Amino acid sequence: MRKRKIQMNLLYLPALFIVLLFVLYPLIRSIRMSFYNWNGYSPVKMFIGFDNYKNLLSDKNFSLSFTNTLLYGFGSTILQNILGLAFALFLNTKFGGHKAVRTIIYLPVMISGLIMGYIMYFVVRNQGALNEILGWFSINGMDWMGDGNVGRWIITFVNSWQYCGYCMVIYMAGLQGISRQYYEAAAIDGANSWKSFRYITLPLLVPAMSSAVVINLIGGLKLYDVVVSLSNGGPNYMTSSLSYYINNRYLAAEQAGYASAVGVVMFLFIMLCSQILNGYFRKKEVEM
Amino acid sequence: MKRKLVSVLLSAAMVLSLAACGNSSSGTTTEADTQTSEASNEDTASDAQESSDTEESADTGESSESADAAWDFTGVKAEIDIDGTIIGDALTTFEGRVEEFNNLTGAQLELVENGDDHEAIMKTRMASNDMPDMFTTHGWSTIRYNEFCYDLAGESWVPDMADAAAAVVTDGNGKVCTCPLTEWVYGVAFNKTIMDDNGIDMYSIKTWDDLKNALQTIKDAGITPIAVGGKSTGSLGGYLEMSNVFYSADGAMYDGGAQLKDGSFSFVEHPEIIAEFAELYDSGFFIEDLFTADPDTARNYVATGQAAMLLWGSPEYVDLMKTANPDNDFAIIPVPAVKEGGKPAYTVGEGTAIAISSKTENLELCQAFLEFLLQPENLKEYVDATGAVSGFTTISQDDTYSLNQYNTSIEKVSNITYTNFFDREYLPSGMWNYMSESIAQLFNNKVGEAGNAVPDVAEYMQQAYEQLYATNNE
Amino acid sequence: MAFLKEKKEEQAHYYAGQKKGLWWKYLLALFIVFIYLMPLYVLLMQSFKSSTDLSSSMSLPEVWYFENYLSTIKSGTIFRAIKNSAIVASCTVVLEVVFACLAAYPLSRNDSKGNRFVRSIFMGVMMIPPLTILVGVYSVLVGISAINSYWGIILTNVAFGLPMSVFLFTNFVGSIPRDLDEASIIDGANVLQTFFHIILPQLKPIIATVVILHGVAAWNEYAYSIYILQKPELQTITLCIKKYFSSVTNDYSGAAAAAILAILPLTIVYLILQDAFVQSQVDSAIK
Repeated sequence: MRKRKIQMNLLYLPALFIVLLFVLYPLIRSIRMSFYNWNGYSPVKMFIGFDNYKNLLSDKNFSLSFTNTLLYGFGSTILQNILGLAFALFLNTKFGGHKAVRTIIYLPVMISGLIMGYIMYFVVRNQGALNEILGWFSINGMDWMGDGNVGRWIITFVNSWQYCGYCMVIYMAGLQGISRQYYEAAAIDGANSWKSFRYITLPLLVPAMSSAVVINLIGGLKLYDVVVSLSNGGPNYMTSSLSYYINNRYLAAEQAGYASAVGVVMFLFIMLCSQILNGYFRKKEVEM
Repeated sequence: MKRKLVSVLLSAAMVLSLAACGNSSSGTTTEADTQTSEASNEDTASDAQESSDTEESADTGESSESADAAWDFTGVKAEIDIDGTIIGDALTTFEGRVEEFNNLTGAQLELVENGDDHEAIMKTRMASNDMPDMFTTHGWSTIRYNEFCYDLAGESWVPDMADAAAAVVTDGNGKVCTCPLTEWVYGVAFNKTIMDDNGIDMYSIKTWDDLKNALQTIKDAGITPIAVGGKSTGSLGGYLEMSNVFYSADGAMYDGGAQLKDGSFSFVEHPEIIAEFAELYDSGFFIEDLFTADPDTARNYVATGQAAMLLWGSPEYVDLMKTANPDNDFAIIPVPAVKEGGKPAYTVGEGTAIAISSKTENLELCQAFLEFLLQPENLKEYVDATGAVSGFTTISQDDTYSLNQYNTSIEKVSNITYTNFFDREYLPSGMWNYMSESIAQLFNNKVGEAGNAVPDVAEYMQQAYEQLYATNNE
Repeated sequence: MAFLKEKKEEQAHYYAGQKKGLWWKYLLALFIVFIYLMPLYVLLMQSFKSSTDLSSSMSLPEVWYFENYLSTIKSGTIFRAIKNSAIVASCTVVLEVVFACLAAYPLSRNDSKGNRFVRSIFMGVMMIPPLTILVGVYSVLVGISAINSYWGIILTNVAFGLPMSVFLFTNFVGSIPRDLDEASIIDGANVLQTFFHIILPQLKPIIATVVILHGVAAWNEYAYSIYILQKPELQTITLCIKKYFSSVTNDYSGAAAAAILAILPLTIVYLILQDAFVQSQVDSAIK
């Protein structure tokens, strides 16, 4: 039996090897690089200790990118789950044509974030489609992306809008897995629709929710393409994400060492988040 | 004839102003300076020689045609990477030349259009020592790309380079790093029809005060004075290229050229250009969506008369705007002097310039391709398509719309000085990004409050300048 | 009896309510459809406008202009890009699914300290945004000369996708009754036989989920492709479309046409497979 266990364990070696080579080893290299002053292409590097990390503390663009990344990650996860669940509940009422609506909601998931950003640029720019539509109702629009405080929410919305189809499908599947008998029993007990939602639907959707949350968080925290095409991080990094900022520091600003430092901080932070989250869901599922 | 005069004037001015040829390493600057200007002088001399035996250079066309027959690269593969400034007609023409070259020689030269990502891609490829056989150098041939460029000094076309072009592509050791097909010219591009309608004679603008008066008149007429495509952050950074009329050009308001090069310049003590842009911004001269308009949108604003000018524009933009709206006229003037007594400046520098990788395995093919591109009829077609100025004296350019407007400005504005791009000459590699950031920071205030941000922005510029100066001069 | 009657009434009431409520459903559905199709409409209209057509985003083209499509199709690069995307996406998902399934089996079945540690490695790196370690990954790729190769981008995609697949698969394997593999062990099957005959067939629905999720992601990948796939003959669809944008000018009409052509293959695949896809989601949700 013990031999069998060892044989079994061999099976995870290929996956482990790839992850070690392409994720953990580069991570270690990045950590080393973050102690150097290096422009990213010349053979000369200069060891500068913790200077890059010290500079991070006073870098406004870094803290902007950091908070934006939190918004993109957690904000769109919450939005996507609410929207996805709402759509799923709505489509689950099975009216004529609900399948067509489902297809349409899922369509943007297929489109690359980069292209979606350019499409949405046409919608939200100053003379774009959104302002035109508002004009039909005599509402004065604004230069939506011109104000970073609005722009970062627009990016959050665009990201949520694009990918909530995925959440919806997960929840639809979850809903189909809930036996009608529960609802019938609840109806007999006199539960109203809110109560049966709260005490039957929601708890039984927790497994679906945990995978939806994980998938959305991964997508949101690494947000890059949409930022590039929709706002280019502007105005003045007000909508930049950490992925965008790292890329910018590494190549445009020729500060590869500093870019690595940003990456390391990001890594540590997300590591912490995912540990907390995992613990939370494991507890939830056990409680079930 | 007029054109010839212009190009002679331009060349002469360039030799004077471009002596440094963008070498920003401090210790060797003076040495490099003298060397380069010597090199340029030699060029001028050899140029004179060349033009004396014009017959010879005339039949280079024929001899290269016979060379055509000798060019047989059947099945040889090579790659040429170009940047995102080659666009529209120019791109089509360039693609056509590559195709023709392939048909002619049987080579398989592949054109890679890197667009906006060219710089980033080149940096990663430099880091991995994997440069394409040929690549455009967008102004950085002598500095960033130097060690990756094959020395072209021995090529037959070297003596034909215009002096201004030769000066910017030759490094301190006399190495010719890249082949400059065109030269860029930057100044103030504007919608002439609007200016005329409002009684503004742009050619009579001498100083920034005159410019601001004109902008105010336009604003009072209900038209947004300045359009800029700030979504592409470089459009904002471009404004700091005008630093030359403030700090470095002939007759600049404050002559900081020497300090800039030895790293002792201080933007904190001299935030004049930043303050000037703060004032423009606080006067409400810019379009409302300056951060979200992309360069096309900005040009279309000016083309359709919703805005009056692009403060930092080129003859190419003049052409593009004319194409977008043939009913209006568009023109260009040099950037005015800051104060009375200074000189208005055109910024002239490397445009489309192609370098051969020092590691290429297809050197002969690359050399042949450059020769092919430089055959007068090919070069002329390309240069005319770009609307820019030729980097070679072997052709005379057609009277394209933009070139006419450019020449008109040279006739009507006196005392013009010609300078290289400010950052290429005076700032360390990597500053471009911070120039964009500085202006973005400044404009990311409410209209009327940018003035207060000037010290912070100057401080930011200064930090980046010092840090990159240190990195580049280790 | 009384409560049965009451229930019937309630049911009747319920259905009547549903009919009465139908109009708001359609109104809401219409609104959702509008929100979702409007941007795509803008894209479609743009693709039929010439680049000098400055009419507003919502309006129809002044002249219907097909040149954008013709020139995109004629140059042929878009088809090469579609082929490249297909190669990258399919290899990515095949490798990822194989490795992840293999890994999930022992990680779920053998609960030892060492395995818990391995599991925590996967979980730990699961949410790392790939770009945070761009510098390091790029040097590794240069080191194994994987720049400008399909396998460079494929392995990178696999590496960043694996942790999540392992996570999903491990959870799923946990829901397969242990009796099944114990029975096969008694029948004398070795580890691989048990895996292929017992575990793998059960994993089908979750495999479909991962294939769709990461297949689409690999098809559309941009952040790393731009550095790894620099040669034009290797470029994928997203890179191909990015080419239409530069700092000086953007050919939005050409890009729109190319984008429409790029979206089509995936959309068609989705339309054909959508029922199977939703079914797989249902199956993977019921554990």
